Amino acid sequence: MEEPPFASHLDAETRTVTVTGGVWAFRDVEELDRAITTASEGLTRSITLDLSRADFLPSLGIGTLLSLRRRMRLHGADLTVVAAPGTVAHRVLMITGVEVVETDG
Amino acid sequence: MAEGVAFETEVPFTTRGADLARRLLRHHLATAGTAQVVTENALLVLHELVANSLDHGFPCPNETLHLAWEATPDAVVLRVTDHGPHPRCPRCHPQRAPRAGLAPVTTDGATLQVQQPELDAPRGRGLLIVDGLSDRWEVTTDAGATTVVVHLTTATDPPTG
Repeated sequence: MEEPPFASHLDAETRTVTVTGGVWAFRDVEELDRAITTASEGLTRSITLDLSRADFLPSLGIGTLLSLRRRMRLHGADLTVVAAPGTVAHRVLMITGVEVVETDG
Repeated sequence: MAEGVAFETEVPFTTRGADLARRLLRHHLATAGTAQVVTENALLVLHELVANSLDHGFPCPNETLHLAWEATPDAVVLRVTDHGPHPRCPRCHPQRAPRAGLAPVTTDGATLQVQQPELDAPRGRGLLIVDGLSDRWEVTTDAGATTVVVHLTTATDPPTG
């Protein structure tokens, strides 16, 4: 019974990073940080992060997103977090008070 | 809990212990036929509780964390026991550190308080997640051991925006 491994995919056209699998361990937090930093060209360009297909998003992942978003805003960019209602990511984002744009999944 | 799965174990007091704990719980919830939403919530809650013990607690005398759970198709009860708060942990001993919290969220029977983290702090959201995903939770202490008991069911209302 394996845990679906963390992966991210960048759609350059829509500047959207889609996460699949879970943020299980610290190395996954680092990969998430790297994926967002790369996609946003060093936190200087706005991107969207789609978490609808994420399986596991603990508090450390949430903290990382908020920290990255704060740093992007210092550069005049923004991180738009989207998640479909009913997903585990949507529940966790709501509980922790992260602004989230709802999608159909 | 009739016809469910009941389990008790010890895992190492390390992040590997957290990985092992999640895998064991996932296996047992699948065996019990626990609903997906409860499974997702229980895995996150267990992960946050273990992380919390590693950050703020002492291991039990044999360098482990004690874990126990009971699961049915629509409910899970989790128990995580460590050997109490570390004497230098600022959250467990707020009188020794400047308080940064808003009004605490009170929990059933618990003296432990959920504090709102600083806006962008990387840590401090674990108990918010435990509180938000569970029906109720409580903390008990006995002979130096601290046990957090969390009740999860399909009835937990997901918060709305």
